[in-house]
Amino acid sequence: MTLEAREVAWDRGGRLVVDGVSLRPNPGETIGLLGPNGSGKSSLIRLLSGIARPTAGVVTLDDRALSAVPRREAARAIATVTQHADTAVELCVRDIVALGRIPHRGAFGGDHRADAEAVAEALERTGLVAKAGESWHRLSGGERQRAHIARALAQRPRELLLDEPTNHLDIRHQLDLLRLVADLPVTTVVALHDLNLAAMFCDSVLILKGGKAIAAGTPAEVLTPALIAEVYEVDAVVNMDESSGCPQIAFTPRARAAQSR
Amino acid sequence: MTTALAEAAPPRGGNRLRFLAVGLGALVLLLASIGAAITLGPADVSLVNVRDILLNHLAGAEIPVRVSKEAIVWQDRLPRALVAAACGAGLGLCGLILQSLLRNPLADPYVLGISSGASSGAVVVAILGVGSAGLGVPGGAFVGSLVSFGAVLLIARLAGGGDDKLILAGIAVTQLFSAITSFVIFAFADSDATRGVMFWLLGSLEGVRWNGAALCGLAALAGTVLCLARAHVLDAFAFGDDVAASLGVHVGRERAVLITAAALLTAVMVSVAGAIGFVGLVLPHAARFLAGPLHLRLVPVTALVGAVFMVWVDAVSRIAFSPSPLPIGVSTALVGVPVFIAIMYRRRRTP
Repeated sequence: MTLEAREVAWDRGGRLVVDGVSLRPNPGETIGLLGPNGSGKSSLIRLLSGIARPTAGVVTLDDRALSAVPRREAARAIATVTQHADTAVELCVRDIVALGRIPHRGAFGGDHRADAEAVAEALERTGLVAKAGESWHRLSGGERQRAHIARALAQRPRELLLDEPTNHLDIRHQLDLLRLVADLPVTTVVALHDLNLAAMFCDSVLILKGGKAIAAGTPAEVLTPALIAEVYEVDAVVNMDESSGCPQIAFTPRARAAQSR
Repeated sequence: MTTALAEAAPPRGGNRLRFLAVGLGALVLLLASIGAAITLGPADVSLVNVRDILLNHLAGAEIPVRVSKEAIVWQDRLPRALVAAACGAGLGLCGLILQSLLRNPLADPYVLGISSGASSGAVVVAILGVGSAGLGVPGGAFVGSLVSFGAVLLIARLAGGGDDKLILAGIAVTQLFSAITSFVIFAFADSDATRGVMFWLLGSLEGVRWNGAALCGLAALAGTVLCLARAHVLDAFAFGDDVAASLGVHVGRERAVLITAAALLTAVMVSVAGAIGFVGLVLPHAARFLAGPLHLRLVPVTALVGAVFMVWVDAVSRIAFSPSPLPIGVSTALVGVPVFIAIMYRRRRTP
């Protein structure tokens, strides 16, 4: 049910950026997409969001091919926060969050009360109530990310797709933002760079390398020294944190120079 | 119209009343401006004459008015004021569409090569006499603008598509057609023809009649309706194509519809009034200053502000240097540039 990728591949001008990946999130869970730069995390997010179509395989929404679902209907079910979404327009936070109501509008306007409620709730959840009237151009990096997530929440989606939402944030904002995302009652697929953050906040993880899915499962099952060495080509020590039950990854320097020659 | 808009707009504190006031005020101002523009001028026409002429034509009254006055007001000044209003509204809306879709605050209706193509088309008809019987100069301008816009689209597509390619292709085609225009003038025109064509290249409302007013008015109205219907789509492009797509917008389709509409609208205006520069760039910024960034308000305010602005600019350029009128494109730049700089300055101080 809901959003699902079945053996999707994306041939982007002769380069296979996604190669036969399947993803089947359980409703309400948070799935982390992990992998080195260029492993296909962002591309997979684009396929799942319907912004791009797979060249093989199929993305389905409620067992219908996503490409056959009308865009507006898809946008009421799936919300996406992409990287580097910036604007030159002088919008305030409330305007940006209200953009999330566009897919809910009919030809003759929308349900104003539902719109106002969804916007207020999204501002509340993301802690942006006090910033509602603030211009986009005066927001910090963390506030901008939260504004985009609030806009996505105002869409009232069932599925939330986030492409490296913690980029350029300081550690406190990274933790706050992922706590917010993990606590949301929607199914979330989030591309992440930081393995420890993934271990802390994701119910399960999917490891990508060269566009292929290498491993999938809970962070404790998947994030082993052997797998980290294979995927990221670094040495790591993984300890179980007794109190949280999360694996903690510490990286160790390796004599790379000798190996690479 | 304005009540429905204010109702549909998301609440922004107490701004709704203010928006309503601005909208209604601008509408009243537009009618008053047209009234003033058709009364002012070197010919001895009084306000009472104008009232009588309007009553005769609009309300079926039969008040005796001198035929010469009637001709000046009803055949010359009124259609001219209406064309000015339609051009202001239409070019402003085109600027608004292109600034939103291309995400470039410097976009205006002429980045797509439309004005230079129109100029070339007009010059080819006026000076070379190609198709002068069937098309006339306005027809030549319309065909020329479509040819240049088609060339821009083709080049952008061959270069791989994308907004940056569209803008680059627009610059290239603009330069090419400007060169063609200059070439035709230098190679084939005598000084009288050159003077006539120059007027046209700088924009001129000399001698427009009711058929021009009807054409421009319908185009401007159609453009306004389309932009209002697409106001949310224009908003959705604020963060780029991907965000617009994730908000349920058919990016390719909407982009094609809106850019083609902007090109056609510009082509109509240019074919009647020549290439009036700078309004399409400045008006959306002035309207944003009054109405905020959301297009449901921005569209009607841009149209109304543009219409009022152009009616006055035309009236002043017609009267100030009478009997030889100033090309309207010269006036729009003279007024528009300082306004643009003032807006930039204000926006820097209050971001």
